[in-house]
This record gives sequence, structure tokens and C-alpha cells, in this order.
Amino acid sequence: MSGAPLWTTVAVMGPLVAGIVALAGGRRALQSGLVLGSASSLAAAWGLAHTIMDEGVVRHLLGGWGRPLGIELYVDGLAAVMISVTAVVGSVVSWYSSAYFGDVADLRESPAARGARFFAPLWLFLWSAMNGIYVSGDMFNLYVMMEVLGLSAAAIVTLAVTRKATLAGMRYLFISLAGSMLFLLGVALLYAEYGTLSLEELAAMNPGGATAGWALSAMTVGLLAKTALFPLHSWLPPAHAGAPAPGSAILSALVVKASFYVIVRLWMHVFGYGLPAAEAEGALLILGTLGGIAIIWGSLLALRQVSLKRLIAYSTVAQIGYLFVMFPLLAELAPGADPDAWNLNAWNGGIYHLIAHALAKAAMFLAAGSMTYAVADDAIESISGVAHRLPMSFLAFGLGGLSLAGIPPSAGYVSKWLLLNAALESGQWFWAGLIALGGLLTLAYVLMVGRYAVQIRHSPEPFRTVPRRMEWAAITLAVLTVALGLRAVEPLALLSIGGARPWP
Amino acid sequence: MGIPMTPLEWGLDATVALLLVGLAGRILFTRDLFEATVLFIAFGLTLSLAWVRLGAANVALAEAALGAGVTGALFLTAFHRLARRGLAHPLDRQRYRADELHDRSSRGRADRGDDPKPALLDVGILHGPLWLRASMALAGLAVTGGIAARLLTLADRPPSLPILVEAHLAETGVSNPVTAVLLNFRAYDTLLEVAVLVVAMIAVGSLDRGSRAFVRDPEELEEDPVLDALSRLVVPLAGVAAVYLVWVGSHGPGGAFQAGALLAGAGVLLVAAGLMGPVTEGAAPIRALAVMGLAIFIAVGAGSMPWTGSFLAYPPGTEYGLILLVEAVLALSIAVVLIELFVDVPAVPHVDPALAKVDPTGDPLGRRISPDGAVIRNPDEER
Repeated sequence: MSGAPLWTTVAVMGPLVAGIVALAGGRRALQSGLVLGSASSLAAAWGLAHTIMDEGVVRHLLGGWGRPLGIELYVDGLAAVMISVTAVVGSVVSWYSSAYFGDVADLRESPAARGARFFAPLWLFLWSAMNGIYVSGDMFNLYVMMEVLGLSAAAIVTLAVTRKATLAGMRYLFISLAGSMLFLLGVALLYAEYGTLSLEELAAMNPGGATAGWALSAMTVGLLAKTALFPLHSWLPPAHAGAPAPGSAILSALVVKASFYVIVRLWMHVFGYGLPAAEAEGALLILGTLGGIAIIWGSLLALRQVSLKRLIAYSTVAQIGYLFVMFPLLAELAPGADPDAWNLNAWNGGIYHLIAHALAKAAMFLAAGSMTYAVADDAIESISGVAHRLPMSFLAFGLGGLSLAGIPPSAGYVSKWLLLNAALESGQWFWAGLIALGGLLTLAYVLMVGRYAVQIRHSPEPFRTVPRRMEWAAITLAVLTVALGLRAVEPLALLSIGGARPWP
Repeated sequence: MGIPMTPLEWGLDATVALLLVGLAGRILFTRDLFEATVLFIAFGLTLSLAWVRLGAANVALAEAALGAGVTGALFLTAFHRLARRGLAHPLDRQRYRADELHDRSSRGRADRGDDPKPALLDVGILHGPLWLRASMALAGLAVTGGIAARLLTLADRPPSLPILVEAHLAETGVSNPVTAVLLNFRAYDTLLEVAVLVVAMIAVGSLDRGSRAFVRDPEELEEDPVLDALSRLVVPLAGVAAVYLVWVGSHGPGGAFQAGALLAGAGVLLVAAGLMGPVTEGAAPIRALAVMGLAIFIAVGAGSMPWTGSFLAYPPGTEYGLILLVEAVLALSIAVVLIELFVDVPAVPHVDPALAKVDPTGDPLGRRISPDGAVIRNPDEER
């Protein structure tokens, strides 16, 4: 058995089996499930990265059939990067969650205990679905994976027993299902026109024309709703802020990236947009413009928030905008560049921003979870003095925030630098200005939280003791954002496997 | 469409099509939830007739069992809960929401904007302002028209996949092409679909705030001999039919999902008739049964990898046996999951039994809605 079948199976089935263990095994098995899920995901990420570095792009023909009859799994550099980021962030969040939900053996049948009881199985099923999306080479399979993803993500929101979270979770579920239906509509149209569900076969047929346009539009609108790009973002802040802290970290750092990944696959690889003179230049510009508005709008609303977790959630709305600013930059090449590939700086910068945001946002939500737990309140005003009591959590929040603002050395700095380069080398000054302005606004809301945190504490209420593991988990991710700012070569080398160009 | 249709068939098809459109319209526009629920079940059964006419017996079976049967039972339960809280009538729900909005706006600054606004999703698009309804209708028409136009102009290519399925059917171990796709060619999708069901069960279970949706009053049950006799008659039949469906799935319409839904229907009937107690939460055997199908499916798929080199590839010669094994455990697990979904429908929010005795419309915020429709803030204050 060569590497690809083994590691793709471990990537998807590992967390799934772990979820089954966590569900069927009772309370004692919750920890074992989380450990099993993290270990299998990390192993699969390591295995896939090594496999594709040795062999290039790999495929796994499920059931031995091959396309179009069977389902093919497809792993290139992008898929391997997504699985690796998910594995690292997911493992740290799992570690954090075991402390956040308390000693699981001690649970009683209280409403809060239900969150502890059900978080691990839901999260592990969700993890399996994310990995499943990243390795999938089949449109209908993507739909099925998104069903597992959407349902478990909405359920994680409602684990916070509050009424608000229940409403936000229901709303998230409706949006997510509507998005899936639109996606499925597009799949049906494409299947009717081209007679295949395989992404690679579809790409080989050079899809174009009216039917393909309608199909891609329907799929994209559905996916944009799931990704929460402006103006389809209004479900995100209540859902991400309302979830329990480890859930917020997963949803904001990882889950919205899964639907973004599908957009990239469809637009860039399958439909081959993003090359100069492609007919889709107008559509790419629309996506970029929505991303630009999202950066400004999300950041301004973040500045107006009085609740810490809502501020971080609005920051996600803004940072998702950067992911879409990548699209118009891809098509503008520097003089002398390969005309069959995308603007490499834009491609690297966009995907590196995805990595940087995943690490930084998870660090910020985990740190915020520790801080709000310590003061038993979610209002920004009430965290005064928390920097002195929880210096590690405060540092993790700050490093994450500075990375998002693009302050060196950090992963966020690398990604913004690459995007700025892409904008400048093709003379698109407008995007460069927008990227810089977004960084300044980010700095403003991060410093706003910092100002309260370092103040002398006014409240006579004592701090609650925060488990050490929660603090260590957040700082681990923050240190990783700095490390990836100092060392961007390896992730970018992995990403380059498969090439920055459409599929043949 | 090679075979010419007789006038009788034309009439039958036209009736089914008109019924479907009429039922769908009525369901959308009625304000009576109970009517909508009952019509939804009728819609599901009519739709399964349409599938039979289209020659898709597998889909017809699934539609009747899942679309009409299980979903209908879930809707009826939801209606029952709303009715118990005095919210069955749309005006009651409107009043309840208005009251909630009032509560929200009078709360402090820290809560500002924290609640999702009760916009479209809560109120229902059909009850929104006229301009909104009109623009939604126009947008819907435009999209439907555009897609219909695309469907009419589809490239006239011969469908290649069904031909490929036929060509490779002999290698799959089964002779029913639908089962071959579900359990062999695209078994991976089926495996994940079963995971969706398990996630749904966890999600519903995690919403449960400690009270059961469907616990019937023993006194009420004694007055219901018809239900009792009916279920004693129907349940054994359903069991036999489920076994048959699993077995026949390899060469004719049938399979794990249909059999599981049938078993689930029998289970729901047993619970409704009080012959089977609601499955107690936290019972390990039940959870194990619910995930057993998924676990064995994965074990079969991964276990043959050393011989075949890829996941979910059955070693030659073992296909029929392994597919039958997977179908059988899947049917059982699907039934358990569906029954759990039904009995686990959460009571959100929890109704205080003391309050419910005074007034069945009591709600968790401690308010009551009096018969004349006024909201009484606090039952204690009133006394």
C-alpha cells in the first residue's frame, strides 16, 4: 500500500473513528477520542506532506474504481497545507477544550455538562468533514462532506446553553442548508451538462458557456454564504461569539476556510479563472470588491463592539475580506511572468493569509475564552487588569492581533507583504492602499482591547482561576504565528506542489 | 420516451402533477400549522407516486418512508409541543415574539445587538412586508426561469455514467444498479451520509435540556385501545418487511435506508402506543447500536485495504457477503438513530411542571399568556 491511500484514509476516517469512540464509549472515552483524533490528523498531515513532496500530486481511487464511476481523492500542495493547518490548530484546540469543559469524569446531568458531553464527538465529526473536503476530487462528495460540516458546526454553537446561542445556531443551520442547496443545484446542472461529477474530468472539458455559468454562480453564492463574505456575513458574529470558546476558535479559524477552499478549487483549478484575459475578470473583480468592503466594514464594526468575543468575530468578517482580495490580484501578472500561471505573490499571499488567520484567530479566541472565564463576563470593559493576572493569555491575544494587523515578525506580516507586492508589481495601487488601511484598523481594535486589559482593575470581584492548560494552548498558537513569520519557506514550498495554475 | 402512453397513464400523470403543485401551494400559504403538517405528509406520499411513475422505485420507497413517514412524525411532534405551549396559532406566535422583542430592547447595553434579529427566518418570508414578498417572488421567478431555460437547452449528450454502471455491474457483487452505486461505486458517499445521520442524532441529543418530547400519559393510553391493537398488528409485519427489504436490495428495489426507515416507523409506533418506553438517555447499548453501522462500514472498508490497496474496495469474491453485512447493520443503526431523533426532540425551553399545571401555556421566562391573549409577566405578581 503506497502512501496516498493510507494517509488520505487516515485523514478522513481517523477523526471519524475517534468521534465514534467519543460518542459510544461514554464519558471516559471523551479524552481518548480527542487524543486519537489529534494523533491521526497530525500523522495524516505529516504523511501526506511527505508523500506529495516525494511523488508530486497524488490520487486515491476509492473502491479501486477511478473516475468517473467511483470517487477519487486528490491531494496537491493546497490540500496538504489545509490539512496541516487544521491538524495543528485542531490539536491545540482539542487540548484546550479538555480543560475548558472541566474534568469530564465528574460531569453531572446539568445543562452545562451537555456541552462537555457532546463537544468532543461533534468536533471530531466536524474535523473528519473538513479533511474530507480538502482531499475530495468529486463534486457530489463535496456536498455530502459539507452536510456533515454544516450540521456539526451549527450544533457546536448551540452547545453554549444560552438562548442567544440556540437562536444563532439555528440561524447558522438555515443559512448553511440554504448554501448547500444552492451548491447542489449547481452540481446537478453541471452533471446534466457534462455527465461527470469528477472535478478533474470537469476541468479537462473546459467548462464554459451559459449552463456552466449558472451552475458556478449558484454554487458560489451558496459557498459565499457559508464563508460569510460581506454582505452574507450577518449570521457569523452571533454564531461565532455565542459558541463556547473552543467552538468559537474552530468555527472562526477553520470552518469558514473549508467553504473558501471549495471556492478556490472551483474558480481557480476547475474553471481556470485567474489567468490574464480570462472572461471572468469582471467576476473576479466583484469578489475582490466584496472582500474590500468586508475589510473596512468588518473592522469598523469590530471597533464599535462592547463584547470581547463579538469584536473578535467581527474581526473574522474583516479578515475573510483579505482572502477574496486575492482573486483580482491573481490575474494581474508582473512583466515577464509565466502567462499560464497566476500571479505567484497573490496566490502565496492569499493562502498564507488563510494560514496566518487560522493560527492568530484561534489564539485570540482561546485567549479570550480564558480572559472572559477569569472575569466571568464577556464585556470588554470588564476585563480590566486581566493582563496582570493572565499575562500569557494577554500575550497570546496580543501576538495574534498584531499578526492580523501585519506587524513583523509574524505570519500575518508575510501574507500582507506578499499581497502588497502582488498589488504593486502589477500597478494596482488601489488594492495596496486597501490592504494597508485594513491593517491600521485591525491595529486599532486590538489596541482597544489591550488598553482595557492593562488598566488597574476596578471591580472588587476576585478573578476565577484559569486552568494552566488553557493559557498554554493559546500561547502555543501565538508562538506558531511568530514562527511562521520567521520561516515561510517550507509552507510555501509545500503549497507550490501542483503549481499555481489551472488544472489541464 | 420510447413507449407511447395510454390515455389512462396520461390522466394519472396529470393528476399526480397537479396534486403536487396544489399541495405545495397550500402548504406554503396556509397559516394553520396543523393543516400544513398533514398536507406535507400527503405531499410526500404523492411525490412517492410520482417517483413510481418515473420508474424510480428505490426513490419512491425512500420518499414514502423518510420524506412522508419519519419527517411527518417529527413535524407532528413539533406541532404538539407548540400547541401545548399555546403557540399553535400564528397570532399567538406573533404576540410571543413581540413580547420577546420588548424584553430585549429593555435590557442593558452589554446586550446590544447580541440577539439575532427575528428577521426573515423567524417570521417567515410569506408574512413579511409586501415589497419584500414581491421582490423575493420576482427573484425566485428569475432564477427558476433561468435554470429552466438552461435545462431545456442542455447539450444532447448520451448519459455516459449509467452505461458505465451497467458495464461494471457484474463486478460489484449485486445486480441492483442502485445498490451497486450506493454500496460499491460510491460507497464513500453512503458512509458519510450515515455519518450525517449520526451527527443529527448527537445534535438533537445535545439540545435536550432534560425533558422528553414524547412521554405519553399512561391514563391517556388506556383510553386508546385502537393504537395498541394496531401497533401489535403492524410492528411484526414491519419487522418482516424490513428483513425482506435488506435482502432484496441486492437485486431489486430495497436496501438499508428503506428497511431502516420502516423499522424506525415501527419503533415510533411502539413508543407512541406506550409499548416501548422512551430510550433512556445515556444508555450505552443504544449509543453503541446507533454507531455500529458506521463503525462496521469503516472496518470493512479499511480492513480490506491490505489486499486491495484502496479504501472501500471489497476483495474479489467477497462483495456480495460484505455488502449484505453492511446493509444489515446499517438498517439497524439507521432505525435506532431515527427513533432516537423522534423521542429525543428537545423541549427547548423547558416547561416547568408546576407552572404547566396552573396553565399549560406557561413558559420558561415565567410568563403566562392568558386566555384573552395578554401576556402576564409573572404568575406570582398576578396572584
